[in-house]
Amino acid sequence: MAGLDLTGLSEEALLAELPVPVRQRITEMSGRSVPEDQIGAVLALAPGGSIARKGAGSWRADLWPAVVQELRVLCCTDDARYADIRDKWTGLQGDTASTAVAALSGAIGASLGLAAGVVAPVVVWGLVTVLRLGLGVFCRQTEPKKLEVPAG
Amino acid sequence: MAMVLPLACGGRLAGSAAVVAQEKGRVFLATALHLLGTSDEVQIAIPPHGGDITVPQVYPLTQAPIAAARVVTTDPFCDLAILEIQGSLGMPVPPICTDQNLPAVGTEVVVLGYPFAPIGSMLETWTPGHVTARARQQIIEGVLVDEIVLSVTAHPGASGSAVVGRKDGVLYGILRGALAPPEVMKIGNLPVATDTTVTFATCAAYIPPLLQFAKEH
Repeated sequence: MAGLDLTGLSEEALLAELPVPVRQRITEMSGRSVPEDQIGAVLALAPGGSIARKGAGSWRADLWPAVVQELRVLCCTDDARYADIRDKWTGLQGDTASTAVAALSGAIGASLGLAAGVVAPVVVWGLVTVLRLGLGVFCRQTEPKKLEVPAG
Repeated sequence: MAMVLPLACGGRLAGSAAVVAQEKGRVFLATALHLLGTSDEVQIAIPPHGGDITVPQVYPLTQAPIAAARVVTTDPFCDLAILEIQGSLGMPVPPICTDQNLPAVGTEVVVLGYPFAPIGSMLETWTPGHVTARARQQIIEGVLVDEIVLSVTAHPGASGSAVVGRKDGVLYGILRGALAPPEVMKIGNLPVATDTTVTFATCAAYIPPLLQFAKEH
């Protein structure tokens, strides 16, 4: 399969890269069988998730689907956008999860125009989702839907 | 008293950030995550008064030295981000409240920050108020975030301000928003005021574990 081989990354090691409070809340939701997609959406939506919000307020509400799409481009395709990190990936795999998360968050953040620290929790959860589903299923599930135009 | 500095995102002033730790040439600040938005360039401005609210401030300022900030970690549930700048700042860091010393309803607090930062103001203000409620925001069923509700008006740019105990100087929270739809009183896309004094701050007890993580990364 094209893309990125995630062998060597484990769910535990990835979650350990999150601050304790974030990890605890994800674990709580996971323990109550909240679907992965919903946890990702909550993680991404939370800063704007209530009416109690004003100020610059430019947090993007579509962060979760945007990160999922970037992970798809990274893991399921050979798109040139992530050629650099794919080239370095073999070396990163032998390193700690911390280095891998930093590199992936940096690359995806740069693609989305976000600081790595902002996007890191959502990227970590996206990678956990990929590991839980398996790369093949993730790639199939996130395939862009073909627009069907009725004939005639 | 807490030291609060203006936060700029993508080259524009956006809000406030409170210094929460200093060590070995690293300064850590807490702010509201939603301010960072889609900007990959985050900076801290250092106006001439250096965040010392007791010093007279010249205004309006058209420029100030800036320090590039790194977003070290975030807690999207709490709307918190921890930033790091290199160097050292001359003011002491306030003690941070813990789960054991959350402020009671009625506690006198002050809000330190930069109201109207998004329209270019770097005038720091000290605004007194009271804790009017202790709240728990439900992010999703079973996931609650402790907040304090304040009797102050939160203008644009106030997000990220420090909420400090007036008597004990303890950092009780980071201001994050007000109970008002963003449509209230706007000039173009910029909300300029709200008629509510129901203002929310994320409880500062969430900061120490984020700081610990930040110091290790």
